[in-house]
Amino acid sequence: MTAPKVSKRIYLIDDDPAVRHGISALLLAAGYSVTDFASANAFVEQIPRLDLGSAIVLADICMPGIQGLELQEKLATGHPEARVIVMTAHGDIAMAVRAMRNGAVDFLEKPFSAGEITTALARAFARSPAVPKTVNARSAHAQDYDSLTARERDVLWEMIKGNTNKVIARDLCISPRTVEVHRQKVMHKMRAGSFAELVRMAVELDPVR
Amino acid sequence: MLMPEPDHSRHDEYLRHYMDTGDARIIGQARSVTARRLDGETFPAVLHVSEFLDGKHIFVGFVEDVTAQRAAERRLAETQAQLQHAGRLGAMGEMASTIAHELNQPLTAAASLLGAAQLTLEKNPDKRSAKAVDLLEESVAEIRRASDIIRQMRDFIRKRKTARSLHDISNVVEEASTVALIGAEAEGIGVSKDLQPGLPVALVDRVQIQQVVTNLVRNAMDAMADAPKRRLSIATAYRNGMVEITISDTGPGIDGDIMPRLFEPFATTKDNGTGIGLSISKSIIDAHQGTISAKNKNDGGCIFTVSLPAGNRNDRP
Repeated sequence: MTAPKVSKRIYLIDDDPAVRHGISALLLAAGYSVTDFASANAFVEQIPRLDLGSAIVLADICMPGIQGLELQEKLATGHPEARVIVMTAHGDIAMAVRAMRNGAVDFLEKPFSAGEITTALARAFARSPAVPKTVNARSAHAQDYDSLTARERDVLWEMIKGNTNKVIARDLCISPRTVEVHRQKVMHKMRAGSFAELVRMAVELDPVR
Repeated sequence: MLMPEPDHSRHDEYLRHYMDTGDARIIGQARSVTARRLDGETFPAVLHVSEFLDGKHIFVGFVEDVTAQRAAERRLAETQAQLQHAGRLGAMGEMASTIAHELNQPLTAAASLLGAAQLTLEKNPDKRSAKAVDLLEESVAEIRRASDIIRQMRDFIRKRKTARSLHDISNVVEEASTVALIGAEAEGIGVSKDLQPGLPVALVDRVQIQQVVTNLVRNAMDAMADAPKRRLSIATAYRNGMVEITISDTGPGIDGDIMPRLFEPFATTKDNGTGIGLSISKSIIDAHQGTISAKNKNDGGCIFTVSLPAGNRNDRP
């Protein structure tokens, strides 16, 4: 939660004025400078005047007009230097995974805490803008992944789909209790502090699955 | 006697009443009654009674067996009830989803503002501000919990299992339009149906697709309420691997302002509309990997097209 020394810029895109106000206040308090946009369209119009390479784009995924995912695809092809963090509804794992596969550097579940957003931004700024985001020859988590048993891997990919223990149990023909055990093993072996972190790792491990 | 109780034993009394008073209770008008067959089974009937004098006073009763008609009416009513139920569930899902999104936004704003307060306090650390920071963190956790509850509610309502099976879309449209077109004639609407027989079947939830068709047909009828020419065309066809349903009217067409957000929730052109019908229709068709679109016709009125992926030609419903 350390404030950056030089004021780093965030381009914030959200259609809700109260959300823009709240997040702007949070980012300013964290020492960032903020430019906000009420729609993806408004942002796209301004792109020629923006310095995408040195900023982070923080965009809601669900907006009228150009949707967050579309914007992300547009940026991925036309402006690969842009680092995008998408904001999804809390618990919308499927959407988050899709956004990551589309090249978002990270995702944040709305609502988020000060710690979550500052950590995500610090991580995003630490990333070089030029590096292709979806293709990783060998992820840093590959070794941890290799340590998983076949069943644990099954459980991991089911979890990434956002399935509940009950659904996973049915799909894999095991008891929900066993799923819970596997789930905890997966989190432990992958050294994932949170479910969101696990999603990030999984997408890095296998961007197309 | 064809008449079950209580009419059976009162019949003579009815006759006497008429003879004495001249007060005709049934003569000259059709009346729905329950009649009885020889084997004792009762059935719904319409009774027409007339009288004539030919030396004697003679009454003639025509008993019309309406069993089949009543059964058809009942089936129709059941289908209607089913459609309404599906409509309500669909509307609830759509509402839940919209409400979840709308509520999550202020929660996000509140959590962010608390986060801002927290970071501001952390800049000037002392004993009291440390306590305040804890309280703010707890508040954010509670906001997260509220957001979680809303999402679970949405998922609960939305994840209703849908029952999909292979159907001939022409049959599905025929059934739905029969229900939806009740009253069309009375409103002076001319209807033409061109439902292609033998189309490739499609994997659909029959009730949901009927709900979409009913909605589109009803919209078309409403749109033509004040139109000078009232013509509704319903057609099905096969095109490029898709089974297509088109519903076209001769109403005033769709306003250019509304057109881009026609399928969004709460966009309505009707005085008494909720703006939910088309957005539900769209979510149903989306879930079927199909498309729904609207277009104004050159000669006035508009046309809605629903396309659904067709199954294999050899598949049978």
